[in-house]
Amino acid sequence: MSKRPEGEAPRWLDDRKNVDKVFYALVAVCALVVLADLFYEKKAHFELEGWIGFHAGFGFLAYVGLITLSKGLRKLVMRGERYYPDAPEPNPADAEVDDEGGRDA
Amino acid sequence: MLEQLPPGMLLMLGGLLVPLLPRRLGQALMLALPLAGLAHLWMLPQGLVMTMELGGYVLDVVRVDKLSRVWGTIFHIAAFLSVIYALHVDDKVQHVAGLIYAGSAIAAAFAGDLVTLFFYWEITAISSVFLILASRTAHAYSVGLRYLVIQVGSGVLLLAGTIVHYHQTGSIGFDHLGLTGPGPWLIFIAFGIKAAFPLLHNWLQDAYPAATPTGTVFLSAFTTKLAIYALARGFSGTDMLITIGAIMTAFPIFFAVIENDLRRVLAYSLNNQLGFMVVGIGIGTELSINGTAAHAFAHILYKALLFMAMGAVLHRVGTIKATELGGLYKSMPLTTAFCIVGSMSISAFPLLSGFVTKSMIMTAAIEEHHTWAFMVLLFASAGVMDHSGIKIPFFSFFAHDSGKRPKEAPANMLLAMALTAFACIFIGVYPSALYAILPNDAPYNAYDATHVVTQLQLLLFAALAFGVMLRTGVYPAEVRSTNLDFDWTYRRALPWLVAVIRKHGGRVWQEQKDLGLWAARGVIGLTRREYSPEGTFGEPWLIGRAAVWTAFVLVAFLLLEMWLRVSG
Repeated sequence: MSKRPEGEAPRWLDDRKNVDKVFYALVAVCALVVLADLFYEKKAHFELEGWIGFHAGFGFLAYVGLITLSKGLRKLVMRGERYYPDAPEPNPADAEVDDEGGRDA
Repeated sequence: MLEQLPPGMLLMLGGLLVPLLPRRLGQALMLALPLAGLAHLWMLPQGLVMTMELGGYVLDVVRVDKLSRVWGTIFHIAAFLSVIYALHVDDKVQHVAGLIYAGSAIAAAFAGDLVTLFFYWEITAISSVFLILASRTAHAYSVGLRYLVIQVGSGVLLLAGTIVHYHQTGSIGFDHLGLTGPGPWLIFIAFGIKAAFPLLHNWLQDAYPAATPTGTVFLSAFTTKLAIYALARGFSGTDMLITIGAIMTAFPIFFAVIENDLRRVLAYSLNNQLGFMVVGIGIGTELSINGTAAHAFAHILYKALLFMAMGAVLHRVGTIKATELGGLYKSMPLTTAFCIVGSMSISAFPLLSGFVTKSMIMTAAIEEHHTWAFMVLLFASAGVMDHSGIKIPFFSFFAHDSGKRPKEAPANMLLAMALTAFACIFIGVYPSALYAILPNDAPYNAYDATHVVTQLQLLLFAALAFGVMLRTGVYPAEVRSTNLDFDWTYRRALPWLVAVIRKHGGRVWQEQKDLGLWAARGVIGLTRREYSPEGTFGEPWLIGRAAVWTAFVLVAFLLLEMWLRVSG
């Protein structure tokens, strides 16, 4: 979690409530760009594209699908950081973590 | 006199001078070379062809036309910005390598024949590897070797294809080839390697994160975009490229989502952007080729900008793993702002460069009724929003405060980022300036209501999905890891196979070694015969034969080295 040095003044974004504000602002803007579909004549190349909010729905679902599938991909391909024999040397700038660091073949 | 100078030559020759000069003078020269080169390029008339006779062949060493000029222009600009970004570096190897690399990529884009193309193709390979080796770690050495084998190998295929093509057609001209025979097929694969086609792509994700912070900025601009140019020149309208390109836009983004090294995330993202350009080449209409050229132009800038921002973080913090970063906006606000400009450009937000270029390719796809390809590109466009639009700036500059308070990037890095960010915005706001230099006369307007609103819907709802997934804890945390990709086959499976054979097939191994020794003796004997005054090489060399032998020897040495490392 946050490791802000002691004594340093918190920034606007350090306040959880302000992060919420950013999120709700995004929700509001999203609603506006869907409503915008009502106010111009849409040039659609195929029927689906002409639907109100088609790109909004597509963007949301594509994103969720991408992340969900990627999480599945992790199960298949993820290995320890030093899996390859020629992996980069341990980096002094990286924090010590309980990295198994294993050569899990 | 100036008309006799091939584009790119100024950078290559000037680059050789840099280490001989005092530091300040060398820096001034490095800055002046790309600007002088660009001015020189634009003084050369359209349609100019410079020929050179060499060993009985006539080579078109320079051909200036609209297509090559787009690439020549952006390559010069990229060289200039990269030089500014790398100006603080006190390593002459990198400066020389960077300039020769940029110069040879420029020269390659103006090659009128395949032999000249091959020549510069290999120089880009050999010069660029020094930007990786300059990291001076055992890992970088190992990566550099793999990179060199693959890059030089691509050149050997190009040369082999050229020879076959010459025997069949009597031409070495670098014009539209199409997949018309074994020669063009070999050339196609050579281009495909450098363009990072699916399964031929891993050199990119392997090498770019291993180069120096400044070296990667150079690397990101030239090699792959030279391959895109070569494909556009030789294989426009090749249907298969639509499929290949569509796969390229989608396949790497899954890996980008789960990758922890942010420069490797950008390498996957670069691969995905190349996919859009490849689709444009496959469609092969005037609009789509314009789209590919415009997108390559815009892409070089925003991708350089993103690599610059991540390079600045790496330079200041010493690591570029998402797990180690976060909250850096507090002490690196300018780098943060420039990074966001790059992220919004690649995501194709209105008023930024990606918006006015990527949609040319997508419009061409749908107008030519490649509906499924269009849907894949649309999916990939939403995906870009994750890995480059959100992940790159979010995990480095925001997310959880890592407590790290690095200094803001050095002044020259900030200047390079500021200029590049300006260019991204300029193209987004005044696309007509870019459209004016495109190769074809195909009018296009990016700013109509449908395009602006639908693109905003796509991107903002993808961002909303991120917000929802983050707040509900569904969004996957960054994890320190290695993710297996296709390079597993040659980094793990192949060495394993060799070890097994060695262990269990003692006799087979011995026979193989004997065979190797016998072959080596044969080569020595042959060399002795051929190099004697009455042998083949006693005669004057023909350029083709010389090139074949040079390439052959290079690859043989590299393979030998690899073999020794694998089996040792």
